[in-house]
This record gives sequence, structure tokens and C-alpha cells, in this order.
Amino acid sequence: MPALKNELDVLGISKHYSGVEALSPTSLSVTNGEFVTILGPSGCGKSTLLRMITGITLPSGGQVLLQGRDITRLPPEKRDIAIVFQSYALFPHMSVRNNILFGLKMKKLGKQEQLRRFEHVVAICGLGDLTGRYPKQLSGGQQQRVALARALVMQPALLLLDEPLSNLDAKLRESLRDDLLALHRSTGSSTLYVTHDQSEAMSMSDRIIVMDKGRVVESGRPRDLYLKPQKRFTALFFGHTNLVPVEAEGTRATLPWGGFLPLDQAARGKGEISLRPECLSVFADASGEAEVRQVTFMGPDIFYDLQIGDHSLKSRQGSNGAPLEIGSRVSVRIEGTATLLEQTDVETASTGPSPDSPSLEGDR
Amino acid sequence: MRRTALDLPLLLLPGVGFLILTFGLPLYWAISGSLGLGANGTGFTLMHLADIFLETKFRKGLMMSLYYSIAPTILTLFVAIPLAMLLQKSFPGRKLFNGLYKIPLAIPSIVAAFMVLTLIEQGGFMDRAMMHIGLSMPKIVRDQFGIGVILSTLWKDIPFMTLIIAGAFGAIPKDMVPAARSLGASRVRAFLMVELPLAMPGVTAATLLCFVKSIGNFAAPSLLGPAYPLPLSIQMYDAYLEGDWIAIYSMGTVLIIVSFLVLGAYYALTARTLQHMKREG
Amino acid sequence: MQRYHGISLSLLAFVCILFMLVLPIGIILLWSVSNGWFPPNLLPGDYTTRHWQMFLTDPTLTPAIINSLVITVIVTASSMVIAMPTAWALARFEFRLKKLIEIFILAPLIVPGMVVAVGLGRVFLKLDLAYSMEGVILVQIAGVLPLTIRILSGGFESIPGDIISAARTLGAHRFAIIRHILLPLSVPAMLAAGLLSFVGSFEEFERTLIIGAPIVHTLTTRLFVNLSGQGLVIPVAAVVSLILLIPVLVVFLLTSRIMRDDVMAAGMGKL
Repeated sequence: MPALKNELDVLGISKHYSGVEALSPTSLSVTNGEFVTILGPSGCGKSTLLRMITGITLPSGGQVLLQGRDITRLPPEKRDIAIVFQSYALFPHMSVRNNILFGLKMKKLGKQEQLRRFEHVVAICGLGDLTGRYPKQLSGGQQQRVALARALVMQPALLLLDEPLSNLDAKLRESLRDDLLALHRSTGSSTLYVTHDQSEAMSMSDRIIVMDKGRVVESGRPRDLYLKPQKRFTALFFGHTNLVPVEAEGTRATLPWGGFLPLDQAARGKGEISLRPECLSVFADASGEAEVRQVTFMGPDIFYDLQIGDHSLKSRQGSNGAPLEIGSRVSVRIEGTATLLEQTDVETASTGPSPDSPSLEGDR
Repeated sequence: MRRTALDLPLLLLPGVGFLILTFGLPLYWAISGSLGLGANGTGFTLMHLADIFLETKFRKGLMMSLYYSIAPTILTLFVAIPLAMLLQKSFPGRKLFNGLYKIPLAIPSIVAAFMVLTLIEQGGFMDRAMMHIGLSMPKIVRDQFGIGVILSTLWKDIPFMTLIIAGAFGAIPKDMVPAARSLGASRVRAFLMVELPLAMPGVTAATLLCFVKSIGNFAAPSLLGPAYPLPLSIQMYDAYLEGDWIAIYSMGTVLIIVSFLVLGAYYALTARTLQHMKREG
Repeated sequence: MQRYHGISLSLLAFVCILFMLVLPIGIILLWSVSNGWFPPNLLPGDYTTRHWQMFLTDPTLTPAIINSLVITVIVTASSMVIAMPTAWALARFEFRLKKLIEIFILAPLIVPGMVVAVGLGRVFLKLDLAYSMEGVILVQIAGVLPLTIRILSGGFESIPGDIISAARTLGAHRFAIIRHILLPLSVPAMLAAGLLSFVGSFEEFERTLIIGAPIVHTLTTRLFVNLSGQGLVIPVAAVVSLILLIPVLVVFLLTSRIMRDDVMAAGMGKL
């Protein structure tokens, strides 16, 4: 297998339906064995993108390359790409066994090989005693595993997962997330994962591509996107954050309530930075600059809403130790460096706060 | 599975084509014939259609057709709504009843007419039963009010309407009525203000379908109805046997117009209701 | 109290069934085996199987049964074949004028059968199709086609698009998808449509009377002739009625098992 070549290259692919643009020209790639996630709110074009990669939808422009081969116009049945749908799309009239064998039969694989692959995939997906059942006799989590097995058994060059966990309850979602990741590590399949859940994306991906309104906002490693987002949209989409206006001068940013913060890149003029609540440490200090306005106990964490000058800030602390009282004075310490958010996209990316992000529900 | 420009017309062709030939064309001929157009026509005229309203035989026929469809429809409505409500309740043997009440749907209307004959004609079963207690059955077959016709139509329409209305009631979310009652609505008010409006599209559809189904009714009026006036359907058959095409086409066109007026009213009504619901929701 | 309520409802329901269903059918049954049943007797004086036996040998009734069965089977099968592609197009394609075509397809349910039949009758006379089996079959297909298309397209619509997409990504070609996915998943809709058109064709009367009678008779038109003629023989009419009931009832009882009420209501009711 050519180690250096990308498994998937999407080059300037776009889609418009009767004049309305659903996806602006978008490029992305997945290298061999990589787990890449497309993250975005519903309606951001991520599913359209996925459908064009499978060939179910034809792109209006651009190219799709699989292992360097142009497959843009190839029908889905001729592509070496398997997909797990959000709805699982199991064939209701076939047993689990026949669901999994379907693709192999279509490929006209030898009986021996069919059986070998089938048994392997049944073992790694933990479907041992379910193979005789029908989809409607399975729980949601079991259906999800069957859908995954049906895709994996094809040993595809690329595995696509379209929000495969979104129809499951929270607990199950977490355990299946771990299973999925373990499976990815053991099979080493190149995977493109689509979700609207930032915690899912961060915990699983090698790389995340953030999308909004039919275009890519930003992409990078989970940690970078979370801690040092370039775009306001990204900062807001990845959970709670404090957007703070600053005055930049070289690699130093002046905070509005006084005090400085080092910038990781030199800049000049007014700007905005994203400070994650956990980067703000607070200490009880009778002469501190901030006042505690609200305390929200979340189990592992405590959120403090602080008032500092004209600004409200949110801070997140571990819940061990004595909590601070509402109304008490505190001093705030900010760790690390900050990145100025790109101003160009402030207007276009998102005018209001994203519906998912700034709520106080904790991680979903 | 990739779609080509030809796929759609090719797929539509069998069904739509067949109906154009066997339904669209006859319809077109009937309408154009009634307007004096077409091959042996005399040129455009509204006289033939006007005749239906002017000539006594036709006018009474039209009245009769309307009577045979409106009367049973209204009566059915009064039976079908309570029956549909009943079917929402649980009672012993409900499942069996639910299966049995639909049987008349599958019974040909001629057989229904025959049942009415054997049951309630003078000399029929009911008449004999009443004789034993010293009464006699009034004449309700081939009587001037067409009671026999209406009874046999009811027999087929009630299950039909009940089926549709029960479906409409069944589709109302189960929590709706308890919610209304917890907000202080009495049982009757909950029915009138919550259930009935929500089931209304089904009720309207059922009512109009019943009407439309019976306006062309032929078997029951010809076996159980009075010899005069004859509804348009029977007059059309007689004219067909005589080859009087102008009369056939004119009567047919009038029936078509009435049917489509009803259908148009239905679409207008449901569209309004839906819009209303959307605006409210 | 609740229980008492339930039982009284049940009593009411089944008294209705008794009078509306059991009594009329029972009386027809008695007529068919009666050997002289004169007023004011509530039961026949004597019983005989004569009328049923006569049925098998009667030169007018035997062909009517055969015609009815042959026509019904051909009509059901052909309407299914004709309806399938059109139903698929309506279920799976979005196009301009779709609403119009849907209304056109359902319009025959609205226009009285008699009007369509007499309109066709004239053409069939010219084409030599009048008074022939072919003519009756054609006019009956036109009658059952709207419902068949409607029910099939409802069935096709209910197959999730994702399932077809999934099959494609697993390597299934057009033919394989039809054979392995679409056909098996459409079986309930096909059964429902088939059974309804079977019933519809078997009990069809007006169109058959116009196009077929007096040369081609089915059971319904034969019964009509029998009932409207001068020498009405009630026992014979009773036998014909019962024979008309048998397949229709069997099919219908089957149908209500296979077909959910809402499917049937949707098929017949919503336009």
C-alpha cells in the first residue's frame, strides 16, 4: 500500500440545488489510517459532502480522488467506500447475517472468503449471538454495531460514518464511542466521521474539519482547535468560552480590565481572544478584581460566573475543595498564551451565538 | 439507478397513458359532445347542457341523483361519527367487531340491494315477522321516497365512513383529550373543541367521498327505487341502449361537473384547514 | 362501573352486527336451500340442495363464474404491472406537474363509473371491443388502476432512501437493488393493492354491464339481470349472491389481517 499517498482527496467539490448553494467549493483529505471528523451544526453541508464522497449525490463541481484515482463520476456501487448512516439503513427484511453478507454477495466473493470475513467482523463487533435476528429485534446500539459490521466487512479503502451515535442515549453513546475508536485502531481503516457533537469529535479524531453554512471554517488537531481556535465560530462551537476584546501590541495583549496576556503571534490593534473557562483560575481574595455572581455545580466541575469591571467571565474549576460563595471577591489568573481570532470571519461566520455552544448544559 | 432524462416519462407512461386512453379521452368526448363539439357535433352550444336543467325528465333525474347521494351521506355522518368514537373505546370483543363491521365494504352493491329486497320488501322477512304481531310493513321498496335505495346505500356507506373517520380519530395523539380535560374542558367540550377539529380533515374527506360514490349509483336505484323519476345514472344507461349520445354526454357532463365541484370544495376546505393549522401551530 | 360500561358497549355493537350482517346473510343462506318458503312463515317449510346443484349445470351461470374469475385474475395482474412503474415514479421522483398527475390518476375514483363506461362504450363499439372479454378487462383495469397506483406508490415511498443508498455503497447494481431490496420491501403494499383490486374487479358491475352485457356476463351482471327481470327466482339469486360473497369475504378477511386500517383508509379515503 502506498504509504505516502492520501487515501481520499476532495478537491474543490461543490453543490448547488437549483441555484441555491448547499456547499461552496471545499477541499479536504484523509491520509492512510487517519480518523478525520467533519464537525458542524445541522444544515452546514456536512451530510451533502459525505453523500458526494459516496457517490449517492453528484457534485456540481470539483473532484473526488480515492487513492489517487478520480472517482467523481463513478456510481456508488463501483467505489471502494463504505458508509454507516445515521439511520443505520439496515435491510429490515434480512437477518443480521444476511445484512452483513449482502455486500460480499454483491461483490461475488468466494463462499470461503465470505465466511472468513463474516466471522471476523462478527467477532470484532461483538455480534456473536445476534446473527440470526432481524433488525427490528435489535436495540439501537446493536443495530448500530450491525451497520458498522456491514460496512467493515467490505474492507473499504475509506469508511464513512454519518452521525452514527446520534440516535442513541447518552450512556450508550459514550461506550460505543470507545468501541468505535478501539475498532478503528485495530482495523486501521481510514475513516471520515461526521457529527455535530464537539465532544465526540474531540475524543475520537486525529483531525477535525469545522464546517458552517456550506463552507469549511477551520481545520486542525482537536487540542489546537479547542485551545487556540482561529475563528470565532470554532471558539463558540467547541463548548463554553469567554470571548474577550483585547488591544494587541506585538506579542502582548492588553485585557480590558487591565493586565496582559502573551500572544502566540505578533499583531497590532483591536482584536478578540477566546479564553476557555478552565484557563481561568480563581482564588478567594478580599481585594481581588472580580466578584462571584453565580455558582453552578456540575459534578466534576464547578462553574463560576464572574463580574470583572464591565465584563462577565466564566471560570471552571475542579469540584474538590471548598466552593466559593456568591458575592465573594476573587482574583483571576490566566494561564498560557492566547490566539487572536481572525476578524475577517466575525461577520460572515456567525452573527449570533451558535445554538449548540454557549449553553450551560456541560458536555453533551 | 442514475437518472436520465427519459426515465421519468418512461416510468409514468404505462399508468398515465392507460388512464388517458381509458379515462381521459372518454371524459373529453363526453364533455365536448355535450357542448356540441366533436365529430358529429353541431358546433358549440350550451343547449344540450341546459336541457338537463330545463327538461322535466332530466331535471327530476338530477334532483333524484342528488337526493340519492345527499340523503344517505348525511344520515351516514350521524351514525359513523359515534361509531368511530366507539371504536376508540375498549370493550370486550372490540377486535372482532373491528373486523366484522367492515365486511359490507367488500359486498357488491347488487348483493346489498338483494338483501334489502329479501329483508324489508313487502312479503319479505321483516314483513312476515310483523305479521305475527298483527302489523304489516309499509312500502319501502320502490316507494316514492326511495327508502330502500337509501337503506342499501347506508349499509355500504356507514362502514366506509366509519373506517376513515376512525382512522382520523386514531391519529389524534392520545394525550390530547386528557390535556384538554386537565385544563378544565368537560368531556363534551373536549370532544367538540379538540377531537372533532383535529379529526375534521378525515370527516370532510369521508363525507365528500360518500357523496361522490353515490351520485352515480346505478344498481340500487334500478332495483329498489321508484320507476319515476329515474336518477341520471339510470337514464344514461337507457340512453346508451338507445344510442342517444347527446343525452348521454350531457347527463355525464353534468354528473362530472357536480363531482368535481365537490372535489374542488374539498381541496379548498382542506387547504384552508391546513393553512389555518400551520398558522396556529 | 367501567366494566359494566364496556359490556353494554359490546352488547350494543354485537346486536348491530347481528341485525345488519348475520340476519341478512342468514336469510339469503336460507333462501338458497329453501324448498318453498311462503308468507307468513319465518322459516322455509322444506329444504333442498336443488338450487345449488342447478347452479353447476345452468348454462348461463357457469360461464358467468368462469368469466368472473378469469377477468378478476387478469385485471389484478395487469393493473399491478401497469401501476408499478408509474407508482415508482410518483414515489421517488420530484418533478413539475407532479400534483396535477396525481390528481389525474385519482380522478377516476371521483367520476361515476357509469360516465366513463358509456364514454368508452362508444369507442369500443367502433373498435369491436364492446361485448368482448378484452373490452371488459380494459374497462375494469381503468377502474382499479387509480387505487393500485396510489397504494403501491405509498408503499414505495415508505422505503427509506438511505436503505437504497446503503445497498448501492455495498455494491448493488440497479437490478440487484430491485431484486433484493425493493421487491421484498414492497410485498405488503403489493399484497394490499392486489387484494383491493381483486375485490374491486370481482364486484365490479356498472362498467361490465355497459361493456360486456348481454354477451359477456360476470356474476354481478348475471345477478342484476336475474333481479331486474320478470321471472325473479329468489333462491337462484340467493345462490349467486352467496357465491359472490365467498371469494370476496375470504379475500377481505385476509386483507384486514395483512393490511392495516390506516393503509386501507389512506388508499380509499385520502385523495
